[in-house]
Amino acid sequence: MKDSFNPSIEPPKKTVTLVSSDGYDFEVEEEVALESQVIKDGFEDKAVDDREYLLFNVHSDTLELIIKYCEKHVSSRKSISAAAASSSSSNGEEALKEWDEHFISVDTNTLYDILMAADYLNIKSLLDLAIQKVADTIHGRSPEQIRKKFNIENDSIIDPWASE
Amino acid sequence: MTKMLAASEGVTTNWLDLPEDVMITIFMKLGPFEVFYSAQGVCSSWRNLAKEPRIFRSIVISRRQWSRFGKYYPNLAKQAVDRSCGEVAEISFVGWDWDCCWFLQYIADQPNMVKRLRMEHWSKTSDVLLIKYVTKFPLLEELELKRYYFSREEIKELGRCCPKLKYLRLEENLASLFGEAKCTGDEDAFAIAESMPQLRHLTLLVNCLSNDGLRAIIDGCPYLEYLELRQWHIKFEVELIEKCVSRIRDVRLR
Repeated sequence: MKDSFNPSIEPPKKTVTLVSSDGYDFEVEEEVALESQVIKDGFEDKAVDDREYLLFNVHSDTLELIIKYCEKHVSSRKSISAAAASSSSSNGEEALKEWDEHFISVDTNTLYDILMAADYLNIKSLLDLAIQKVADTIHGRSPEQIRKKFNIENDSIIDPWASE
Repeated sequence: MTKMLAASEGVTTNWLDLPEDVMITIFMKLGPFEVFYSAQGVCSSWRNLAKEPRIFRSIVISRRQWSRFGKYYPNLAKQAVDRSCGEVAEISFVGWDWDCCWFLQYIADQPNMVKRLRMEHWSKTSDVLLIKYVTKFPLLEELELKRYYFSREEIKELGRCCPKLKYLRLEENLASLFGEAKCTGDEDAFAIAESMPQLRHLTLLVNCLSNDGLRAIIDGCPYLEYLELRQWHIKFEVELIEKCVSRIRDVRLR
């Protein structure tokens, strides 16, 4: 996906171009990009032929993941509402939850990158997912284990039980 | 200042660079006890973040946390209330025996914003105090008690003192099992009907609720959208049930 798309192929749907901090172009469907509230907010102001967004804070590795997440959520939402419309039973939401769980099961560095990007792009569901994952990672660990896990230096010897 | 340890090559992640709001949301998810016990001890930066009152709005203790934090609990709960700067909105205790009256008193004695209270496993002695404290939560909107010990008068007092109460769930009134006579489910129903006309959601799982109790609720709580009752050996009259269903969106009779 990092390599530019073949220009002779006409995109089937309206697309926008997202440019990562390291200069890669990602052409994605409009509705996928609009999962980002930041892009959505600026969308109406942009000319139709100039729908390119420079994402200075998002590296291509992370952007690829973010796009994967947004594409999955856009397509799942469609199939869930289609199932609801035809009132056929569907475990779409359950399946999406499982997919999310799998998606966010990454190492702490990648989790950090996703968290930063989701915050920067303001993708609420992804931000919530990443925040929950960090909380789950901290949960039940001692300060020393947390420092090790997140690579944080202890800069003060303090007694966490000491009252203010 | 806190610095990162020399990380593996090419790694530039510094968890201390996360926006403050994101960090605080993470701490809110962790809850007061996890923040006290572990997060705030990680470094000075996290320790400063742990002073944010929003983290302590919801003092919820799960069974699992109780087994870990039990012995520190009294001290931690008080600190959580202090750090909330009067913003505690939700209190939930599930399945434990510790007498936490003094902690509720500590909240009740100051101006408070408690909107939601959920408790399980209460005892006769502490309920005498419980009603004293709960009635000092004037903004209370949701109350859930499992195994409570309230008389009819006390339930009425609750309704009077907490006029914003919209959601009420009462399960197993111990007073009807061990208390003086005439403390049946109907007594609870009458008290609710008399004092809580604003209720939207009512779950009343008590014994010996009869047609009279059900009728009182239908007439006394006209805004109910949800009603859940336990059907004791007395079967409710069909026309009463029909009246329920025509007025209330969601009716569940167990």
